[in-house]
Amino acid sequence: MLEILQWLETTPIALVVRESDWGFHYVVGVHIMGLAFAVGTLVWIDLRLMGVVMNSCPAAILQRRLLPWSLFGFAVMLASGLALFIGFATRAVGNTFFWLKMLALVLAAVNALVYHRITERRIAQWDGAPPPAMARMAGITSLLLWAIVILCGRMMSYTMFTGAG
Amino acid sequence: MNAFFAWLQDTTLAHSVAHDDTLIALLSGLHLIGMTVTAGGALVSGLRLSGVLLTERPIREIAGAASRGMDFGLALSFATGFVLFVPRALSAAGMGLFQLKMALLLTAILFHVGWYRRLARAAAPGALAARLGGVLAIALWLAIALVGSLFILLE
Repeated sequence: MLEILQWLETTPIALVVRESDWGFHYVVGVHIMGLAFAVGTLVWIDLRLMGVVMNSCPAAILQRRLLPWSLFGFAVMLASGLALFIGFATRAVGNTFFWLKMLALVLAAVNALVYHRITERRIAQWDGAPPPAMARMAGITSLLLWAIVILCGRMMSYTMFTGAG
Repeated sequence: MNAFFAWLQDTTLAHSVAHDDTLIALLSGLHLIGMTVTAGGALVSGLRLSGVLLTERPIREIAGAASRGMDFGLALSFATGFVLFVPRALSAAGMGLFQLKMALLLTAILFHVGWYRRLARAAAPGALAARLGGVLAIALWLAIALVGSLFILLE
């Protein structure tokens, strides 16, 4: 495992991220732009599922229109996040906040899948009325998990290079 | 101006934040959450105003709610950003990227408070004003997020 991580750190992507003057900054900039698109649009779907905003707009329409923008952001975040990981693979796997971030990401994906497979299947029955408990739970869980992802991402930056994490 | 920044950097708030790395990381995370909500709100409201997204729904329903969310995100980012600034006021104020971010931020806040909030919450804003406002909001807030992301790495 360690050999693979060390090999990753010698690849051209890793060298650009870690050793060029502006490579790291550009990739982080792209990662943050991805975040603005992904979570910045997902927030409104989650708040609508919780019944907090845009309640006169059917949740089905809102998520159908916003989701492509969120997915675009997630693709950008995933690609730039992978590049950052490749650049600092050995340090990342030794950092507690990296694993907390990964755990929160997996839980966010599971939450989205459960919503998609169960709650969203019956959206025609509940859309238009106050959202059911399952929809509210999916919305608040998603918001909390993404807040944890963002916080852990920042904690990583402050601990990965000092060994504090 | 430098005397003011030096005074700011010597306040109790500055000293208590400066030596607490965990608090700085946490504040930075909250700052980024605020930015995400603000930039996301600008995207959703700006895309609706410019006629790209959710055109089947009333402007006020979508852009109005998203612009209110921007108020929250902005307040969170501003408060945490100020506390992050105080311990290193002198060095930050001298940096070109920080000055650019502040110039963009001042423009964006004046634009948001002076015009955009009213535009996004209007029952029927003019088509040209809506498009212009929507595009400007997206450009300004994404630019601030981008400059900010470059700046936090140069601390």
